[in-house]
Amino acid sequence: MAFQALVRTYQNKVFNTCLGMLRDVEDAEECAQDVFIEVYKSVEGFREEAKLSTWIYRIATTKCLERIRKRKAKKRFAFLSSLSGDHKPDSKYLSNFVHPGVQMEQNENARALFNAIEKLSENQRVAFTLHKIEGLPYEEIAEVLNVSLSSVESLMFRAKQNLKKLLKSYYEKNFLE
Amino acid sequence: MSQKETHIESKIEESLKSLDSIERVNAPDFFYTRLQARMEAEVLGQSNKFFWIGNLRLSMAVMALVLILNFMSLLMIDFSGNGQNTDDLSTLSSEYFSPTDDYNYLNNQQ
Repeated sequence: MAFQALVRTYQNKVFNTCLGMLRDVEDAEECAQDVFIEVYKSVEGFREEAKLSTWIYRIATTKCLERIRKRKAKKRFAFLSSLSGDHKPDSKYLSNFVHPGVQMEQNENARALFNAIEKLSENQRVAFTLHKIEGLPYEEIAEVLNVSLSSVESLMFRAKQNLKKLLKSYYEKNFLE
Repeated sequence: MSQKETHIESKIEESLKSLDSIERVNAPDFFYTRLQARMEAEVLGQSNKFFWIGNLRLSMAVMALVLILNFMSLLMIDFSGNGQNTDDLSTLSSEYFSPTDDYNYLNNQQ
């Protein structure tokens, strides 16, 4: 019963984080399930040095990054297979994802931004997603990533700089033609 | 700055701000029910009587134990009563199987 209450309390936070990171509803649900299974298995090892929510966010971001790495490996394999001509590329994760929480009039802008976020480094991606999509303050992101507050500020600054560059390149190629 | 560049700059700013008003997406309906079903299959299912099949170390230990028991039983059969077994076998053989050239038992029947 305690576990059920825990799931009900955190399921929306975990799912929203997974969706922001993975950009696929089915994948996000599976990943959120992975998170709670991990919580169930390792709750005895949870030390109350961190808040429960911080610990759960940490597991969620770790699981998401694992999935992203697997996805990249799968993409590389698919690319190599396509060179030999016996594999069609998987279009599931291509850039058409629209986050359901984004305002309708912002869909196009958000789509470009999500595509750019995907190209960030892992830490920048996690920090930016937790702050912008999940609305976590820098202090809590620092606890989730187990880094200092100034590191998070630096991560966010570099993430924004990189996003600007990526978006500029995107709009120069695809916009105003 | 050209008009195109200004336009691109404004699009970049708009994109960066596009997540400012994002709303949290809730987990799908029956999330807990599906999680529970998956946990029953994956986590809690491991506690059934065949869980050790999935556990490589335990499987190897059980297999080694079975091999040791087999080996020990072979040794015990080999050591127990070498001479007595031969006598018993020859008695049994003479009682149930006549020698191939001996047909006297046919005469006895008449």
